[in-house]
Amino acid sequence: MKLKSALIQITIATVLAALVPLVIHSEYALHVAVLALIFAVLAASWNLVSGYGGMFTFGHQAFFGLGAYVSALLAMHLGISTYLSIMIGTVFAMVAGVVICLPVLRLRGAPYIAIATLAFAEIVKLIADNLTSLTHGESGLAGIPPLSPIGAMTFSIADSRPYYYCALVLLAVTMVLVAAVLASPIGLAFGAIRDSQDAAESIGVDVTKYKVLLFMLSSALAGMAGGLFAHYVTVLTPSSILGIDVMVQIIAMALIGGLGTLFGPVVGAIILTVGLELLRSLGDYQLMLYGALLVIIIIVLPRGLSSLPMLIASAATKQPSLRGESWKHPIKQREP
Amino acid sequence: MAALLQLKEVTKAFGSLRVLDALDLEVDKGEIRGLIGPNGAGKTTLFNVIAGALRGDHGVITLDGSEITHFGSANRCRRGLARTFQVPKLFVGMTVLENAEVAALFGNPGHQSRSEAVARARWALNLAGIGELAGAKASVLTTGQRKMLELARAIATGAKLLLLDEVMAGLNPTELQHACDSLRALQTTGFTILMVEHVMQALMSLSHRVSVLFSGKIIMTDVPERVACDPRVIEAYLGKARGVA
Ligand SMILES: Nc1ncnc2c1ncn2[C@@H]1O[C@H](COP(=O)(O)OP(=O)(O)O)[C@@H](O)[C@H]1O
Ligand SMILES: [Mg+2]
Repeated sequence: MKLKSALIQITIATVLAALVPLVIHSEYALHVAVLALIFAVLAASWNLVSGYGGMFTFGHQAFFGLGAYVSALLAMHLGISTYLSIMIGTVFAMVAGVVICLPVLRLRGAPYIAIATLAFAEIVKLIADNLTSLTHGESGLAGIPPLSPIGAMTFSIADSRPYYYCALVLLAVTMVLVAAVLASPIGLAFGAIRDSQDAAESIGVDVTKYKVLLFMLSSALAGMAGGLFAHYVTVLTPSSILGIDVMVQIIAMALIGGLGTLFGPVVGAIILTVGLELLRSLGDYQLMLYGALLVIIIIVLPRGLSSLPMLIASAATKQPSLRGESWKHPIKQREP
Repeated sequence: MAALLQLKEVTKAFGSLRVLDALDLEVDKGEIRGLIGPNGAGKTTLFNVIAGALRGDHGVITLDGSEITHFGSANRCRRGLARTFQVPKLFVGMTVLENAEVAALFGNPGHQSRSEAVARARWALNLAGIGELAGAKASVLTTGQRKMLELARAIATGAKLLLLDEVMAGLNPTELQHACDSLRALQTTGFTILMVEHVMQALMSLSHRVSVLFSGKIIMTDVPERVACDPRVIEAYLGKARGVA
């Protein structure tokens, strides 16, 4: 996608999304919307390493959780502005991203990368579990301050509206950043590494440098989303934010929306977050239906829901479809 | 004439299999050098060791007077050495032009603008004879076109020395003719070429000299006519190759 058209689409989507609170008045619905936006940032950040970088990490929740815990603890104990604490949490997550990236650099096979990153995330969770003096473990870290006021805008748990705009700004900034990076030479390097690491090296791409960069960017964005999450929900437990189900959610969002596409993870995050809430009345059947839908979408639309408009367009003009010969599954297209 | 590429006692073993055994090789500036040897002789391995995809166990590799033995692939490429892969490894998520553009952007050490890189990429595509495919997705190319994109990508890096691993295998007669023309044009433009080729006629007509790899060593280097008549070569290679071809 060309940068200009991407920026126009992001602008339009942001403006439309900014109107949502004017239409939706239910506090509960708005709460779900805030969660959807925060998860959209998280899914978009994972999409960078997996969809664009071709590295299927399985420990992204660690960066989300680190950003959340570090920011919450700093704001609670040092009393600093929550924006400063979120920035520090972001840097923390980014450094963690570099640390986990180093062993991943030596690994080629997808299963090894998944296991190495999962192990890392489990270690982070174990630490959060056992550092009870700081985190209170599973009994939960409560009393996290809400976001510091910005001018006349104040934040409280009772009102999701200001958080909605905050989360929307974070998502818009994330999307612009991702679009700009992908349109730059760095984006070409990422694409080359994803398609063939050997070929990328052979034409002069410093694979190590760009992988580290990709991890830094991706983990920093996840950490920032975590920080916002912490000061929104104001209660953190290791299992709610560092558990493997967070990772499963991220993957589901990216796959349903479209891995390796700009808007896919956002679409997936909104559909899954809202969809899960709608299915909540089904009780035990909720997850069953959820799983079934996931499987169906992945089979019918391997490029995710965001490929639907293109599929319809190509069907209408009788052009070769995306599922035809020219298409390669994003997971399968990398070299062995 | 000065040697552009020089290998001294380069050794590479996979476990107990010594594929390259204290191999010496010199390629002069501006020449087209053919490299032949039976299947499994280690030609691709030699290319991998020269290009840096594999590290040799011993030996010294020099490019244009400076030692590159301990450099990685990307670094060697930026110093002027580019290779093609016997089995094409294209960036299938990109267009043909973008494939060459990445090479132009990252293969050249000097800073250049995006438009300069695109211009260089187009020049490379034209040299490889696939200029009109610039806008196509790399994933839809035929075998022959894939090979030529491999070539174009190597050219776009701005390398002085091209290592071509069977770029003509799988080409139809027309494509083969075009590929030969391309390589001659490249040589005239100042490129040095080291090529592995099983298409004997093309190799013999293009190469100034041919080196023969056998049992981990270069057993002879000479003009194509003499190599083709050498009894050792006929025994080690040509006899077999005729059987296969
Ligand atoms: N990565 C590797 N690991 C183990 N053995 C290898 C590897 N690459 C090549 N070989 C072996 O080295 C020998 C030379 O292979 P290769 O260089 O591909 O030969 P050629 O290109 O001349 O046909 C073969 O016996 C091959 O099986
Ligand atoms: Mg070979």
